[in-house]
Amino acid sequence: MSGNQFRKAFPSTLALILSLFLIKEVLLASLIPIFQGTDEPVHYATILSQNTPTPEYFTKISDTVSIEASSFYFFEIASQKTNLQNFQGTGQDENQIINQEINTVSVSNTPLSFYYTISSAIVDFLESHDTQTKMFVLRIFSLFIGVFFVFLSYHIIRTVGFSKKASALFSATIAFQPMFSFMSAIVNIDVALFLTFALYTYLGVLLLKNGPNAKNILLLISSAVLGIAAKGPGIILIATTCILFGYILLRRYAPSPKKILISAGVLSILITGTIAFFAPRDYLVKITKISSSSEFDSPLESIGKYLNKTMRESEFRDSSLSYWGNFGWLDTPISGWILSVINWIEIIGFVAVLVYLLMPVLKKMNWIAAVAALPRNDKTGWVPERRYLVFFLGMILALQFAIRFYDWRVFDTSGQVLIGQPGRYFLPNLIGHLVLVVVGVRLAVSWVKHWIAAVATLPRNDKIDFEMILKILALAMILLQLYAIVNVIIPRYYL
Amino acid sequence: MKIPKLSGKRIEYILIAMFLLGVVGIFWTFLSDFGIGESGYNFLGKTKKVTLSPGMPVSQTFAAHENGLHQVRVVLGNASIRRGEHIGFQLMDETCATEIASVDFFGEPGKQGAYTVFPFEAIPDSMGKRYCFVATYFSDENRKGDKPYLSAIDDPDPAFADRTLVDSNKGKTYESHSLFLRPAYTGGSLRADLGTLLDRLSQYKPGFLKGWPIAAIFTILVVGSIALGIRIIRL
Repeated sequence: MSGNQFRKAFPSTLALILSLFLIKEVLLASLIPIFQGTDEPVHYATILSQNTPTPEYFTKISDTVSIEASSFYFFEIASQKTNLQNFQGTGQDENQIINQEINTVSVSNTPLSFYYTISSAIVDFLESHDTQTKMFVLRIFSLFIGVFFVFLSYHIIRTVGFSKKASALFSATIAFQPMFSFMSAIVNIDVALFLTFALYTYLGVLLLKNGPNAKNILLLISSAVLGIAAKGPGIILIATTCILFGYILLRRYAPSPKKILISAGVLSILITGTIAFFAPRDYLVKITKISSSSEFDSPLESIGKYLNKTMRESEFRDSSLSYWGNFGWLDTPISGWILSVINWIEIIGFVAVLVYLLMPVLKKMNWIAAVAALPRNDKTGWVPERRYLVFFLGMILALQFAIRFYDWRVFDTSGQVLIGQPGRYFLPNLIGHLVLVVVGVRLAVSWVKHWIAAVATLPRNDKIDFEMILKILALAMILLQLYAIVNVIIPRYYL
Repeated sequence: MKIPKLSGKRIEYILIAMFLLGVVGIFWTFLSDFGIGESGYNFLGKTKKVTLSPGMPVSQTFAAHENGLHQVRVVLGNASIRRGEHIGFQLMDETCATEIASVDFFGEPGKQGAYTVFPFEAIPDSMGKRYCFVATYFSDENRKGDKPYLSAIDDPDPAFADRTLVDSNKGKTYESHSLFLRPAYTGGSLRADLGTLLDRLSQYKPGFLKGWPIAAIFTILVVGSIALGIRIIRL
């Protein structure tokens, strides 16, 4: 890579952001007690199980990890948010078994993931080292995936048309998102999905920008396949790939309705065929639960009851809390009022961006068009083209569908909401999500200014510094991250 | 009257000041609630709610295991205090007769994580001495099912052999029972307290992370975050 190419890939501000992200993640990996990352014992046990020849050894691994976790006070701390490790000595007593009923740590039943494969190799390499060292090094592996995610975020945002400055500001905001930072500092398969979604999003915006060519198409399909090899919800990338290709074909060839129908049919066969070809059969059976029987009389009844239980304000708030900052075993949250402020910003941003996307339809309603038009004199070019915004929104909806589908399948076969929608499951779309919210907030600010000017018969002043909004959000996110470490995580586990 | 427009430099200075104020605020909050909570035991098994009825105190005796006792932390639920109500926390001697410190909450008490913190002047020679924590709820109305409560373990635990819980509302005394009560201490100086915190941060970690490496990483992060914030403002 030449000097110019390097400087293009790593502008100095981005390099500072990535360096600081690395340091922050090392600190988080050190601060979060071993096994207190969400689902860490399960993932650690699954990593250990990668090299065992038969499932009979899974029980032995479960018992081993259960005892190890117990010696780090995992069960005590996870069971009550008031509990601590014993700090009266100098650390873990290797021979100490806590005198309580030890719960079993299970091995995950969907062990297909490149994250497990690579982690297993790391654990093999560190065979002679203690558990703390193995877990810490595995966390380092996770954080490097996070570094790559932040790096990709810069290039995604540059590709959709933002300036270098704006892209760096977005990347800083992403790098300091507390829950993303937490998930990138623990042993958890979710981080693999973050990476594959970021890679896919980057290749997707490249495809939309540069048009289809053999290289773009191949890379996009490869990233979708990598998504399947990351975690179950990655399978939705196959569907989004087909929809993306369909959109590009439509734009290029503008086919007749008959051709559209035929294309849709061919695409459906392609989707099904690709999934059947690339994904192992038992993997598909597990993530769709196709062989399990329903607890309900009909799919409609099942879906209705599922939606009734999950589409509630309390459920959305819980999801939002675990998207922005509910650490450990979802018992170490950021403050409620901070979450409320964040939620309001998100609602304003999303509503505004939806109004903007529906503008061609809404323009027919003159009273909206009169005030809701884009600022006439704004030449900063801060709104990406609609196709990118629709792509980001589509990715968010696709992942929502994938996660809700699996959650519903578990509900359908058990009668209970056992998984839910923890916010961290939606972090793979953090980049697109933030772009939509920030653009929406800017739009909303602009419209409010116009309405005030119109009502007060003041001259229109369309100048709003978009980068100022970005700066304020980036600074707020840095403060939120510091608050999460200093006022939430450290007191919870050490004081 | 024409409002003068702020220059770019002025806006920068305002943002820098607000950002630094935010950082200071984060550490101020951390240090103002600071106390080293006792470790060596945890609250296990079934739990119960000890309801606070108006004028009926709940008391818990406990032994301090360190010098410098300066906080008692409890888990207080349904803590939204209405107008005309308040909750009183008292620290008393082991006979629950002589008050050492007290505080009244007329609104919902601030929390540190799951705990409501009762701070008082540090007791330098508290080690080995027994104290009595008393919580009393004052209200003119009977809130029925909505009263504040303190969380407690439901069964006796040998780890709390030095604790006795008295619920005057039920007229019962529970030996070896405990509220979710955790005394917290101070080493007498910020340096001593941070040293103890660093010692705790170093435990259950790989050898190469113990002690100054964690402190160094934390310091670099804070300084780096401030530097990044200023750079962002000046971009």
